[in-house]
Amino acid sequence: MLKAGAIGELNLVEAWWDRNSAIGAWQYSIPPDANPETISWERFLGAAPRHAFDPIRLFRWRNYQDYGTGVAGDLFVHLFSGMHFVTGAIGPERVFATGGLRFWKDGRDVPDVMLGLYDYAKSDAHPAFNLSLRVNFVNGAGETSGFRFVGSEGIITIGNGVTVTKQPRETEPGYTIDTFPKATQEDFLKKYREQYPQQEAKADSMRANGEARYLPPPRYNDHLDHHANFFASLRSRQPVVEDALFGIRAAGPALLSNMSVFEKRQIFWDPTHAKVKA
Amino acid sequence: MPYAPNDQVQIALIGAGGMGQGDARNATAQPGTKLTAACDIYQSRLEHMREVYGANTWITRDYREILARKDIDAVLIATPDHWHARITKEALAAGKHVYCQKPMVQKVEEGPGVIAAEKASGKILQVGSQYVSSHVFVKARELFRQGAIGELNLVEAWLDRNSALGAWQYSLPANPNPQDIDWDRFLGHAPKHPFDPIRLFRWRNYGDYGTGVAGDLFIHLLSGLHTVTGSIGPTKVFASGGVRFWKDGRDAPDVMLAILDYPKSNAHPAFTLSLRVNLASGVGQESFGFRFYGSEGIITTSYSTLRLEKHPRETEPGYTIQTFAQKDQQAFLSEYRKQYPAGPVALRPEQEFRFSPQADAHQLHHQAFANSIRGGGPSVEDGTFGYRAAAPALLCNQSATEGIAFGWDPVNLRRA
Repeated sequence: MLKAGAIGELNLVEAWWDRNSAIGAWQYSIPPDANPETISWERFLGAAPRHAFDPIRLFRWRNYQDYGTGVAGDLFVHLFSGMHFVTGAIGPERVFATGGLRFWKDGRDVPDVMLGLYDYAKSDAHPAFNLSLRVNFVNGAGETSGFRFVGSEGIITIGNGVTVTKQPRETEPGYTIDTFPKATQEDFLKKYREQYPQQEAKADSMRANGEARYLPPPRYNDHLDHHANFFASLRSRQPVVEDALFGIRAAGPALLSNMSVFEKRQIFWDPTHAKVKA
Repeated sequence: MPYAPNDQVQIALIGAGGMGQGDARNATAQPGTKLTAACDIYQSRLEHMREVYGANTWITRDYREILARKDIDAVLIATPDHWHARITKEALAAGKHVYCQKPMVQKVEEGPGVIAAEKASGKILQVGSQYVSSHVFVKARELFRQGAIGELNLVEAWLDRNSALGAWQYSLPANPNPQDIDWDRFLGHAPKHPFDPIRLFRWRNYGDYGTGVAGDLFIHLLSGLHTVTGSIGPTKVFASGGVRFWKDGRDAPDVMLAILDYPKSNAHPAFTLSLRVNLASGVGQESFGFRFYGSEGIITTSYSTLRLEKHPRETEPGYTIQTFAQKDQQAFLSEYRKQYPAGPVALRPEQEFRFSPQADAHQLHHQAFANSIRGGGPSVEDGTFGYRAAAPALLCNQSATEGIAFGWDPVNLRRA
């Protein structure tokens, strides 16, 4: 629908993934039998820094920079992947993110609130636009995730299915003449109406502000589709839907978001070659 | 506030464009006020002021003549932004009370001078971000202070538009006569430029005179935020954007996003602020709102509504044990239920409240100004408050233009 011009010219994409629960915030369960006998701790650590046995760091590894990638690697990466898939974008040129640990102060060293801003340059697939990402693990309500693709003639929202809201542009610009003297106002209106003849209000002159919603079939499961695509590629030897280049083009800016938060600076990225710029 | 029969506040308008004439209307709607003089650099608007306020209205193209008049108690300053600081300082020095449109300053460096002039004058300076007086924000402040949403962690605020007029393509008179316009006085200290009525009538589109979406609209978001949370400002500002749709020669972006870090203070915990203005928003209606996210709920506002959603936190954390062997699942559950006994399922009360104030924010803000002039209390939006909102807004512009983040010291009001 974006390629067909359903929302005019894209100028902004917003995407978010909010949660509001202990499990959503990665406080996964730790089995009572977790001990050095039942767990190969050294193999868990691998290349990570040495650390004394600590089942919390294993079972809740997403909370630690040594093993996980925080909200950016767990969730921003979904938002980048989905957005790149829809727009045909290959990645931002600039990354800036900020956030903090606001609520889940359980010893973790990654933020539970994180915002990122990303500049996407014009390409053959899309005009220049801004991307804004949000993850909030303390969002005060329930779990919600989605995308808003904002264009000059409407919005595509992905959340509960896909909703396309069409808003044709105004047919005349309007005027702000009430600070002018009466004579100047009349003079203005005469010329204005030459350029934009008064339209008689008619039922068929109303502009259609359409809204259409597309829902997947009941019990639709995108995990199943993604695995089906994988095995289909194995058998057909056709390219996979998400190859390594696609993967790094999503993972790169996600991980740079972490770097931006931890180092408090913006980072430049070359999305064509998937490389950090000096 | 009551006032004596002879206690008339005589007002002059400096800058009689759309906002200025609106301010004049709202100021003169307050009891015991009278508009006696007007200044503009475009003759036609002065004529219109006489059409509205009477042929005796004293008019001039030179604001200094207004400041020299002894019969003026207060001035409304609604010039293009690049004149705000200078006229405000001169008006205060001339002993006038000042209502200055937002942003209080066009450049970050201008703030301390205005605050010093305010303090030296002993007069009222009220900056014109009217939402500071809006009942929506007063109510939100009350709810926030009561802890209605638990611990604040994130605020989102936006002001979206989707029309030519919303994008500042204001009307030009059919045949503006250069004789009727004092072009050099419009320019003031701005860079020299040949006569061009578009740059005058649509001055918000140009960094030489205006402050773009940040100074026009982020400023409302920052003023509203500071009103509700009691915050004094961010420590870090980053913004990005571009001219995406309204490519009419303007140099000010029509899409701008910003993220700002607010440090912990006595009034609130540390939180992150996200700002958005999109002048090609893809929807029919203009939209202005806030979402205050807390650990126990959300406050959402619009121009004239406030919604409070209260969501108590979960009473037990839940578990993820399905990947363990059966015996370990059972052992886990037995321990878990000792800590969180299984009781009858209690529904957690999720409440929603809606508030719809009736009063107009512009009216309330001018009422507050008249009240302060008569000694009814300090300015509701003084120079310090005005600067605490203006400086981060202007740093957003600078961040978007120069492509870097800026540090800010909200206590000492300077770059950090």
